[in-house]
Parts: sequence; C-alpha cells; structure tokens
Amino acid sequence: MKRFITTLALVCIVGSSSLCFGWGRDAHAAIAYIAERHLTPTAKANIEKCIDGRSIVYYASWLDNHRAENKSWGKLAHVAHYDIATCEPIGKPYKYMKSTINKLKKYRELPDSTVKVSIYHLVHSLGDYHCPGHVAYYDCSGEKPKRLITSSYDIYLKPKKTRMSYHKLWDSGIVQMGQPGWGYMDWGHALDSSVSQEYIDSVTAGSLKDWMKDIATRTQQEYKIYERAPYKDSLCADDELSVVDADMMNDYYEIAAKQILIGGLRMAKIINDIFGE
Amino acid sequence: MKKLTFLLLFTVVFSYCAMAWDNRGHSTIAYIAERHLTPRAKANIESYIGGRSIVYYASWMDFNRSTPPMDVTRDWHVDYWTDGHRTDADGNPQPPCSLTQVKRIVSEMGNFRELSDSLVNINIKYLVHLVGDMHCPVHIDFPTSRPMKIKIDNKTVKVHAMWDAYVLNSKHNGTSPMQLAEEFDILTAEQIAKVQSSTPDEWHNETVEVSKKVIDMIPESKKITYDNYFNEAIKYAEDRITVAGYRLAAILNSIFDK
Amino acid sequence: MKKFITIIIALLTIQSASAWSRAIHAGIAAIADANLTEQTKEAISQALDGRNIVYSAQWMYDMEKTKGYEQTKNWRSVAVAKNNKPLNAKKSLNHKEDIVRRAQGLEALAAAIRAIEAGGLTKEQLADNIRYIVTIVGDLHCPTHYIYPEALELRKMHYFYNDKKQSYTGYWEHSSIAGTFNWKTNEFVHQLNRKTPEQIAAITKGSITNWVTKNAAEYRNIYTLLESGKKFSQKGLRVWQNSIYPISTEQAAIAGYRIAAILNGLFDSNVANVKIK
Repeated sequence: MKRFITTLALVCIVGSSSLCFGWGRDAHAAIAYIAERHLTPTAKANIEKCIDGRSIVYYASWLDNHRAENKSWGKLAHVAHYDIATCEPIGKPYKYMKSTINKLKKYRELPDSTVKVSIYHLVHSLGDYHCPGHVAYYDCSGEKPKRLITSSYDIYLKPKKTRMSYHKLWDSGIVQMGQPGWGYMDWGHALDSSVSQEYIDSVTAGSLKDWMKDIATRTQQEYKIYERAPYKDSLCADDELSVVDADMMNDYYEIAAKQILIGGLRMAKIINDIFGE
Repeated sequence: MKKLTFLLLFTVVFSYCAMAWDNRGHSTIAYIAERHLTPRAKANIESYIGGRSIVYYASWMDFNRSTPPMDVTRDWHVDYWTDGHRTDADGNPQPPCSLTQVKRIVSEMGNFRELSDSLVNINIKYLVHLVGDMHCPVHIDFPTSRPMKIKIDNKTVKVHAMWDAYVLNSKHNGTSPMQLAEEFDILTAEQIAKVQSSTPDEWHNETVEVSKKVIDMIPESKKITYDNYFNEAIKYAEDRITVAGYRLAAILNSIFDK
Repeated sequence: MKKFITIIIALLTIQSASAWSRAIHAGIAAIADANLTEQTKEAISQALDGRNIVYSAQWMYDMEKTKGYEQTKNWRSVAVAKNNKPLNAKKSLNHKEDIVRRAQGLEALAAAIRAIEAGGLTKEQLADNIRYIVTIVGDLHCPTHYIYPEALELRKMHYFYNDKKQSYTGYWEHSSIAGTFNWKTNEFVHQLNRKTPEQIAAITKGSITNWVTKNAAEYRNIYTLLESGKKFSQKGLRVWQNSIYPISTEQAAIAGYRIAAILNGLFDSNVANVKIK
C-alpha cells in the first residue's frame, strides 16, 4: 500500500511544490527552455561556458532558490512596476534588469561570479516579467509613485472550490492546472513546434522597455486580469471574493501559454545578441 | 492534516474526475501520433493551430466541456452500454458517441481546405482527443461497473476515477508524456500498419472487449493493489494509448497529407 | 505559502521508507540509456521485448511482493566497514542488526553481472538481470543506501519544520532533488548528461567495489550537513536545501554513466567489462 501513498504523495508534490516560488518552476523552466531552443549554436556554447557547462534551464529558478543567501540577490525584484497611465516600466525592477543586460554585454571583461549572477537574474526575472500576475501598476501623477494594483489578494477559484491568492494562481496554479503532468520540455515542444519567423520578429522587435510596456498593456487592456477578478479585501468571506470560473481559467491557460512563448523568444533574442559572437 | 487531506483530494480526485485518460495519457497519445505524421500533414495541421503541436490540445476538450458553447460536447467522451447497445444514462438506445463524432469529423474534413479555419481548428482538437477517448477502456460505461466502488488503500473511488488517476501513475509516475511516447512507440512498421488498417468501428468494438476484461479483472473484494490489479491493468493502458496514437496519426495523415 | 510547504514536507515523510523516488530512478536510467552504444541498445532491446531500460527503471521495486522476487527487497542498500570497504556477505548476513543483514545490494549486483557474463540465460532471466543492474546501481548512488553498522544512529537523524519531525534519510530519497527541480525523466538527461568523455572516463574508472568504497567514504559527509534536531524556518530550509541539491543531482548523473558502463561492457564486444572487484 505504500506504493499508492507514494504515488499520491508524488502527485501532490509535483502539483504543489512550486506553488511557493516565482512564476513557478515549471513556467520558468519552460521559458528558459524555449529560449534555449532558439539560441544560435555559438550563443548557446558561449553562455553555457559561463555557467559551468549547464543549460540555462538549470538556473531558471536559481534566484528564487538562492535569494535568501545574499542581500543583493534578494533585491533583484521579481514583480515589475508600471505607470498605470502609460504602462511604461518604472522603478528598480526595470532599472536592475537593464543594468544586468548592459553588464552582460561586457561579459568577457567581468569576473566569473558577476557574469553568473547576471545570467541567473536574466533567465529568471525576464520570465517573471512575462507573468501577468507580476505586473504591478502605480499612480505616477503625484510626487511619489503610489501603488494601485498588484495581484496579492485572494480570489475564489470556482472549478476547485477553494480560495487562493491571485498571485499564486498566476505564478504556478495556471501552468500546473493547464497541463498537469507536463515537464518543461513538453511545454517547449508543444508551444514552439512551428512558430513562424514573422511572429518571432514581431514579438522580439524593440527594446526591453518596449517589451515591458507591451506586457503591462496586454495585461491591462487585452488580458484584463485585474478587471475580470477585481481586488477584494482578503479578510472577506469566500462568497464575497472575486470569482475565477472555469471559463476564465481556460482563457488564463491560453494567456499563460502565449506569455511563456513570448518570454522565451525574447530571452533568446537578448542572449543571442550578447553571446552570439 | 485536514489541509493535507483536502489537497490530496483536490489534486487527485477533482482534477481527474470523469475524464477518460488523464492529461498525461492524452498527451502521450498525441505525441505518438505526431511521431508518425508525415511532414506535410504535420505542417498543414500546425498551420491551423498557431504553430503549436497537437500535443498542446490533447486534453482541450476536457478543459472546455463545461462552459457554453462547448457544453454540447460533454457527452461525446463516454458511451453508456447496456446489453450490447449504447444507451444514455437512463438506458435509452443511442449511437456510440465518440465513434459517431470521429466518423462525422473525418468525413467533414475530407476537403479541409474548403472549410473555415476555425472549423478545421476545432475539428483537430476534437480528433486529437476523441480518438484517445475511443481507446480508453473505461470510456465504455457498463451499468454494472458504473456504480462500482473501488477501494484503493483507504480511499473509495469509482472505476472511471480509478483508471484516470491511478493506472498510469502506478508505474509511470514522474514520467512526462514526451518520454512515455518514446517508451511506448516501439512497434515495427508492419505492426503499426496492421494496427492502422482497421476501421473506427472495429476500434470501438475492440474497446468494448477490453473494457469487459478490465472490469472482470477487478477482484471480488473490490480492494485493488498493484499486485492484484495495476500490474496487469497497466499493460492494457499502455497498449490502448499506443494503439490510439498510431490510429490518430493514420486519421490525421489521411486528412492532411495533401 | 507556509501551508503548502507544510504539506510538501508532511508528504515527504510518508515515503521515507522508499528508495530513490520513481522519478529519480527513471531519470538515472534515461541518462544511462543516452550513454549506451548502439550494439548494447540493440541487445537490451531484444532482451526487453523492444523496451528500453527507462521503462523498467523501478521494476525491481514493483516486483518485490511477487512470488519468487521477495528477496529483491534486500537488494537496495550496501553495508560497509569503518574503512568504507563493503562488508562481505557472510559478515553482513550474520550481523545482529536487521538493517545490515538486509543490505545485500552489492552481492545482488555482482550476481546479476556474473549471470549475464556466464551466459546461457533464458530471455526472461536475462531481462530480470538487466533490470536488477539498472535499479541497484541507481540505489548505490543514493547516499542513504549506505549502511554504516558502527553508526546506525545516523539513520535516526531528523529535523523539524513547522514543528513537524522529518526524517533526514527520507529527505534524501526524493526531495534532495524534487525540493529544487520538477524534472521529468527526459529532463534529467537534458540537465545532467553533460559530462565530457574525459569526465565520464574518470567516473567509470575502477571496479564496482572501488566505486562503492569511494561512495561510502564520500557519503559519510552528508551527515555533517545537518545538525540533527534542527528547527528550520522557511528561509532556513531553503538555504539548507541549496547545499544538498548539487550533491544529489551529481550522484544521479554518476549513477547513469556507471549503469551505461556496466551494460556496455556486458553487451558491446568493443567495450571492456567493468570489473566487480
């Protein structure tokens, strides 16, 4: 009988373990894996040389796992901030990512450890920024930006008859419920089977700033994730919370799939530009 | 401990209830099919589903069957079976569902280029799923097995749920569908050709026979263990998944390899 | 967040009596499979009815309750002396402690190899012995499968998380990898099958007894990584896990290469046999 308990335990561990981290291990690994599939052989070889011959996928959640060990790693924020009026990125998350990319452009001159942490930051946080639950809007009309909307509140998840943090639902719930039992290679294979060059060019055009603005704009206007399940005080009862129903979940699976692919393609673009020579 | 129990239930029971194969089973079928698509068929299919693999849509019908307008497909997955005939849950005679739908779609898709993109798109999602369901032993739902309660460890589940959540996991836990396809897709070209040569009606009849066998295999005590059930049942599960994959490839090639 | 971690940890204890988890065994077998020569693959495929070794990675465990296979439950671990050399069968079989008497992994592995070398096996016997090799070599690279008779108290080491007592050996068998990565079988290959031919040669050099002796010495160190009875905070647990996963993933890779070396030696006429002693 132990075998069945083990089976159950495994199902649950696989199902729940990544609920505690970033965009979830599976989504992070899927994004990095899609990126890897689009690296030029030179870029792949060069970046892997910097990270002890490992795949970038190995480090996709490194920042989540190791952030408690070093204050400066902890500061590399995972949620991106935007001006609600313009959807332009503001504040430290954008600044740090820009600085990481600029640093990596000089990777041959930098100490190994700096290059490593910069790569870990890039392969993790760029993924996080593509998660709609990691988009936080600020009112920037006053002297200091004022936080308006983030995903850190509870919703009622109707198909599972349970309440859940909206952030966590986006982080990992959607990816795991969307395709239970899948690994990152399954996600990469399924989403990135025959994507056209035209599509790749269209989503990778522009700068980091343009991409982030694109994410914030989509989240606000196309995906409408905050409009569809508005903020309710998490102290309120289950039946007073915003409801996410099966129909919304199906839309959310699609949004997550789209964002994972776009995130991977953009990550590849950055790595190819920097490490492709 | 309450939370633990809840999560166990939540993960195992709720997420699988009343699906024929679970997501992994369906994904594996789609992978096996994909490995046997002609390059032209694969390219044609993927041009209708946004450059994604058919694997992505393997369980799409399960995820979308509760909400309108897709709720009309709710009954396409399972056949209730009384005395050699398909019935509805109340015992009224009905044509077998997934079989009828598969035949309808295949005939409709004969000239797929003349159909709207959205119709071809949804028909691909239907076929990818329903050919799998047609091969799942508990897809045939007998009046005797329908209410049957199975005891696994301290849990009581219905036959259908037992197949969904436990059979494949009893041996292949932690294995991704991509890997399962690699492990199951081992028939020779001649064997594959033979498997593919039969008709959907014959596949359906085959499933009826297999269904009877896997129900008969349940011990009288209704207490199921690896040794008294899953060890044997897994062979049927693997075989049906593999065969479904080859046949799905045959259907898709016949439609799209032109 | 806390509740999910609690659940994961609670679940881990349930399967503490198991060996490397099913997923890890399959991952190790997949690494081995990727390193088999064509000749070996062909011979094994014939013996296993067209299947690969990944398919039966944990077959030995599935069979332990089947008549005729009961003894296999004593083939998972190895007992070593203070100098880390394996205890001979006579010594371990007569030991007063049951756990030492049951540590017959190395003897069983040697018997399986000798049986294949001697030839004249039926197809079923050949298949059984191949599967034994795959499972046992995997287990002989799980540190907690080494029994140190003079220090059996090590097996009682534990820690507390959320006031719940957790077994250290149980932690190793599954969460030492799954606590950090959600890898599926084929993903173990993508992540870990990255050694150079020189590195592989170094890993597979020497006899199986040498491997076991070296492992036994090295694995004693894992018991210095935890102060038994320690109470972990959420952050502390994460930081502690970071010190473990590099070891467990490396051992999984090594096990894969060594299984391949043994099987290539047995089935490929161009490859030298791995010696038992």
